[in-house]
Amino acid sequence: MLILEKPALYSSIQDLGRFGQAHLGISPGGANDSLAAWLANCIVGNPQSAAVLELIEPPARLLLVDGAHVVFSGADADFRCNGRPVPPYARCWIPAGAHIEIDRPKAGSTVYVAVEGGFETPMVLGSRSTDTRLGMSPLARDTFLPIAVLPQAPRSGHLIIPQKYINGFRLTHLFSPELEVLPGPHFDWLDTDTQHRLGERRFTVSSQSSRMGIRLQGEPLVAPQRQCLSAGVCRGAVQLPPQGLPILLAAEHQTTGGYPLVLQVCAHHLSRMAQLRAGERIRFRNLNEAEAAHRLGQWQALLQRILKSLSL
Amino acid sequence: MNAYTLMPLGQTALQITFGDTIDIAINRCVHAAWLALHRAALPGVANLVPAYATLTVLLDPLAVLRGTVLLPELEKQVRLTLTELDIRDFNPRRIELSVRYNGPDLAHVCAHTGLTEAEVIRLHSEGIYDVYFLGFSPGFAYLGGLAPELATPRLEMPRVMVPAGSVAIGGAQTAVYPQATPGGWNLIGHCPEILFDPKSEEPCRLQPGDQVVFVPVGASC
Repeated sequence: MLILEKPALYSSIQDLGRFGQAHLGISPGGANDSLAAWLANCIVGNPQSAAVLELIEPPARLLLVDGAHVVFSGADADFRCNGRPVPPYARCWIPAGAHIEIDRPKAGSTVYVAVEGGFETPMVLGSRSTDTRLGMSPLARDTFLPIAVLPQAPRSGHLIIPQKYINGFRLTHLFSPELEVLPGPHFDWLDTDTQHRLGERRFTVSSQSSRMGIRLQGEPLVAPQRQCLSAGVCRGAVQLPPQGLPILLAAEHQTTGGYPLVLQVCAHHLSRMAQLRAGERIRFRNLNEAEAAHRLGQWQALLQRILKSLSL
Repeated sequence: MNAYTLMPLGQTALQITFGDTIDIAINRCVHAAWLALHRAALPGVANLVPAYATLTVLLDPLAVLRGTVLLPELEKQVRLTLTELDIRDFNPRRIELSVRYNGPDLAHVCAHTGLTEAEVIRLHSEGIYDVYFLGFSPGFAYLGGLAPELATPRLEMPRVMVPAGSVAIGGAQTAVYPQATPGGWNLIGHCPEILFDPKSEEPCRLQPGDQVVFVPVGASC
């Protein structure tokens, strides 16, 4: 059992999300920074489908009622257990009754807390992921979160990923001032001037952003005047509505949309996108297909090395 | 099978396009393709999203990042699945929904269209509507087939909350709100059936491709 003594700006339970239901208008959802959530589960020894706690814009404070192995991941924040610092991306034993404090991140927006066994909140349509459109609520102050009791004896000791991998990994995904993108299906609808501006202009992340979409502020671009037929959209799609300010679709995006899709965030930068926080400045960097494939390959190799270091 | 184009959306999705207009023949291709790909259950496909003229295949972004799913490989398998596609495989279900035509905007629709209440009810309930796709919110069906005479512009100021089950006309479209949401369409009636229940095995009463018929019931009962 874990008690959310002080929630972050938006706190929820998330897992891999909902599969095979988007044709019913049900969002895939799931952890916004699915990579950070997945790594936390890997390190703590959970199946990848285990539910974790997602904290968008801490500070937050937790009380762990029973002792458990815990892993923190995601944004670059300071974590303390009873006042003592705890490293991120590391499996640590947190004793019963311990208070955990999570500070406002120095970089990034969202922190994940994976507890060995996983959170056992109710399943809705095959997932524990909070989605308000399914009648689920974000977590309020003093919510009790049940944790699965494991059939096997807990493993003892600490397990820490070699710093060299984690530092390399976190530097790329948290601190890059550029979001790497590919052209979207309607990129050609933009005039050449706007196509250039999309790569040069810096935008500020709006505080109106949510798990559905990240809104950007700044000098508006010239949006295409053509209309699209509503069509299915995916995570990382960059919409350009008529007022000319881009919206990036996050994990809990609507299933269909009708705005022109001008860019698409590369698979390896979806975590970077999820970690954008209100007020942060960001620029798009256009990659060509070969560059994007090369970067994806580098990330796949990096993840392989991390998994190997965990002997998974 | 009609011609289609296949286009990647970045590295984590594929869009299959069958046309560029709202047309029931094109939309039927979308549902036939949905059914074929649903049955094929290709590994790595997380979701299949039909819309008016497109079917979007969503991969699990994490699986792409880990290299367990490869978009070019999937593209090949999708093409292979679609070569065997026969649009006749898709047979729409017929769903009847009862409606009490007593909505707060019924009088407004009459005033705008110049029809009597009885005529509006007759025209609306005579139609056979095709569920082009579901979107906007869980279970919200975009219906095609509204009699052109009934077209009524959306409200100037959307309602903060439209009750679940509201039957509405917005421009040249009609729909039933499955959940209480904000909305700007003209409410002409109420359907007492549950259209969306997240606790059910089949959460949505309407599925993409269904045909819907509205059956008027007495407003006084």
